[in-house]
Amino acid sequence: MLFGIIILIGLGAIIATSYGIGQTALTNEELTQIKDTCVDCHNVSHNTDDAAVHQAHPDMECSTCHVGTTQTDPGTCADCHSVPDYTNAADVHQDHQNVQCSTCHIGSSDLGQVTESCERCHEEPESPDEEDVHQIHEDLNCSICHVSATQIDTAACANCHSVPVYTSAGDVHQIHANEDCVTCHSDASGLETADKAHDILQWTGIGIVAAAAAGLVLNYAVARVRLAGRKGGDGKTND
Amino acid sequence: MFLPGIGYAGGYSIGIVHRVAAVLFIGIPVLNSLSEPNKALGFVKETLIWSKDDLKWFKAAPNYYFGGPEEKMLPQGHVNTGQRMWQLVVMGTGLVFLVTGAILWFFKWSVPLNVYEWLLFVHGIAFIIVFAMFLVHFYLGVIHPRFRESLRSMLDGKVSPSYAKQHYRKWYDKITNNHRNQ
Repeated sequence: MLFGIIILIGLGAIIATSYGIGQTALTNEELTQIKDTCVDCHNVSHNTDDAAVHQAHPDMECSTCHVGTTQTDPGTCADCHSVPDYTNAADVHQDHQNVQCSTCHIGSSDLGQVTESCERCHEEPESPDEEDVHQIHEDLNCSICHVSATQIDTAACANCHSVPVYTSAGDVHQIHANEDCVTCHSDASGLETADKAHDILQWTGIGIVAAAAAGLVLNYAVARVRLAGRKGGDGKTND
Repeated sequence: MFLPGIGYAGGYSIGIVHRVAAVLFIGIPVLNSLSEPNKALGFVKETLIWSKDDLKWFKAAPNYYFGGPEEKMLPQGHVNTGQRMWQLVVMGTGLVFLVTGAILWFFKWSVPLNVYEWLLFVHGIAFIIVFAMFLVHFYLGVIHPRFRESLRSMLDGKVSPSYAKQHYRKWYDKITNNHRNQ
């Protein structure tokens, strides 16, 4: 009987151990030892940009993400992180479904910060002019405006900027309702290039006309006095 | 269009007025030229052909228009240099209005955006120039104390002999010589 009980306890202990019952979590030191074991054979690039994603997950075993052979399976990110909406055509993730998360999200704990990583694959826009729309928005993530792969969605501009009234018949914005804002506001400062050009022209015109009018008033005053003072002269008879 | 506050708010209505004015602005001179081609050609010649006397007129003009002595101004024909300058501005800006306006109106979708913007700008600058010159023209024709008779002459096309002698001496001499020779 006693022998039987000992056998049962022994089997229970084996089963419990196999299911992890009674085990304590691995310490960082133990994890490091395991990871160090991976590094024995695998070249982990801690000194490149990719290292950031490793640094963002210091307490995780390599195999938590690297479930396949050599690359990270995006699916494993989704085990812990919320998955973006791939079905939304306007979502930047929809155009990058086959790209690994870490290609863009190079490691910051803030997964929204993907500005620099866009330029790893996409050509950096030339923005020599300080009024260029890219120059103005250089501190923003690319994906804030480029919500889809090829176009700047007008709605993206409207996230920050007030949108014109598209329903006013004849309004220039109503006529161009299907255009991207940047088609016209290509080098805007505050999206007012067109308005600014109009304002410059308007106030230049008003300035010139006002100056001309002031000059004519001055002319009238001087001419009247001089002609009146020339008694018997040309100013008195027919002028 | 150039008045603050009208801008986009009145854009559509002003656009219609603008187009009607454009048709009249181009149509009337064209019809007039077709009905009297010789006069139109003479007008163009008179406007475009300038001489050194015109340069002298420009030098003498400031003092003259500020009430200086008449004798220091060069004798003028039936249209003086300043009036011909006004004609030149009207013709020049008219041509600019015609070309840029036609493209802006009929070919706006065929030209690149930056060309379209430049056309708008040039169109606007032309208006500023002609409007400023119009003010000067209006002032000299209606208000300036030296040219009071010019306003009246617009009604019947006539000026007094003394006025003609005073301001358009070349023309006056030509008329009186012709009269004596008859």
